[in-house]
Amino acid sequence: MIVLLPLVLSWLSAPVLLLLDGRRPAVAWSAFAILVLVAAIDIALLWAMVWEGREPFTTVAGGWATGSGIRLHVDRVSLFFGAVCAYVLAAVTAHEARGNVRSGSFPALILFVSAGLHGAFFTGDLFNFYVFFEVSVVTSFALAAYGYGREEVRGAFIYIVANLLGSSLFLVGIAVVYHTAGVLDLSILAQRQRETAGIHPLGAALLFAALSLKLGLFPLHGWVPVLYSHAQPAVAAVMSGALINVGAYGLLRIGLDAAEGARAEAGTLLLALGAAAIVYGALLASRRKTPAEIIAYASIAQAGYLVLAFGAGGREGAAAALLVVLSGSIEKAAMFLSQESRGAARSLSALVGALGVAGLPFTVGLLAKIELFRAAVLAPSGPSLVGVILLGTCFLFVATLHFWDRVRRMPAPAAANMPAALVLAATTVALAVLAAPLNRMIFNLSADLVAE
Amino acid sequence: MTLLVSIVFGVLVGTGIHLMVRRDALRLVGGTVLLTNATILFLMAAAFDGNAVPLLPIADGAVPADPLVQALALTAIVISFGTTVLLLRVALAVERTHGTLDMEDLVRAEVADEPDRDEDAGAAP
Repeated sequence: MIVLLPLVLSWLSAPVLLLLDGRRPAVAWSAFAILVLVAAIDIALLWAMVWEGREPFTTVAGGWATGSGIRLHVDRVSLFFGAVCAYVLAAVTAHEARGNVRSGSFPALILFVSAGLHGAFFTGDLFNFYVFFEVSVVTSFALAAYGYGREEVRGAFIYIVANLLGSSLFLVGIAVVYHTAGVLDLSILAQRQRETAGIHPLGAALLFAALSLKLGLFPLHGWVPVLYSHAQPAVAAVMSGALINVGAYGLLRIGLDAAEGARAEAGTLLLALGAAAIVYGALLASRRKTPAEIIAYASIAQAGYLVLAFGAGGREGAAAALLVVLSGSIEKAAMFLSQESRGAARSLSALVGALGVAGLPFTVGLLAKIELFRAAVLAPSGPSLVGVILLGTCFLFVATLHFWDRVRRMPAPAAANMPAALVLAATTVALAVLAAPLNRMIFNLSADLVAE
Repeated sequence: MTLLVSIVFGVLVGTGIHLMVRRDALRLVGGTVLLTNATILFLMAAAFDGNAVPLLPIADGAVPADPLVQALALTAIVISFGTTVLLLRVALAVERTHGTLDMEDLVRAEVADEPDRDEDAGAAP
């Protein structure tokens, strides 16, 4: 039961903090403490499962028989995603906590995001996944308008409408899956996939469209630049570092197992979509002038990397996708938070974050890029995919230098923030130093996604 | 029954999308409401069986309607209600800060609020 602690802890503490005034530093710091605890539990359990052979945790809520109740399933991949998200959320909370929380509900909303994300990662049921990601997404609607300035509310409006469309698509996809398969339990669907047929191709296509909208994949990326350039940097860091991962998780968890048949059939299309997103995102990132827009288009290119790895499939593709998630979350959050930092910390974290997103040395982004090459070479038309990735890296390198230059010339913020951006930048460098054990762990994790 | 549901679904989606491409942001919200309702109807239709009877009280040998889709639809209704309320709240905030809900005026405000994107356009070669 201790396995469910990250979910329960965020879920129970969020309403309590909602009753308190989040502008008081003590409230923000207690949210930070809870998130650090959540991340620590995630990491400790992940450690135990990867290196000490602890078994994945499965239970059916309410004591129902297997197959009729909602199943909760926590394995290495769930904990990996939970740890990444909790870590980024903790960094953002620390960044905001030092006296400049602008809305009383901010700390509670961050905890609700953590609860929704952990719920989505810890469930073994398709509809329950939908419910929990709606919890996190609805919270993000409120966060998007954080500050309530002209720009924020305009960005939030577009973001909400786009996400409502995505949710409708996902719901229709669930209806198709239920109508054709009669169950929504992901492990039963995966079992059927191995024996007869998995998720119906139409259902798989609808779920894919909905998840790629949440992920901000070209050509469904319209809301990404609008939201990132209008929202407060801290909120944009939450969106790009934590919330976007729910799309990635859904894609990998459903796509590589229960819908593997449909995924393999659409492999070429997925590779083409990924390649198009990489070229489009990277090219526009190199041409944009404001830092937030540069990150937005770099994020679209990252979604392309993820879908490329997903389209390549297999253990290699899954490992590459997990590394893209790890590097993208930490580095994009570092980029956003660097805009509100001061002095040398700002310059350094902006540079390291941007280098990481471009997949250049000294960061875990490079490891992700190497794994991506390995997955791409094994895929059909491998050489041209490698060419696309290299082209994207060139454009993103230009974007990196633009971004670094722009951030250094931005006016310094009035209040000093906690050096959260610097901590995130240091994390990606530290993970890059630990490349060998990290790679082994990620490859170990990919066994949870891809059935042998 | 299937035909009727299909027609209603089609009309709801069509009307919803028609409203979503109008200039008025409030109509856009109305369009999303219709669209989510169409989705919920589709979810209900996933387990349609013309001859099914209610789950309780059940007669011997009768086939009850699938209660799961009803539970799913109920959950979806609650979620869509919550998101709609939030969307309306944000629309209210847009109205208060901009004094308009006309999408074209909002686009104009977007251009007006633009940071100096081309600050060094002249310096570029």
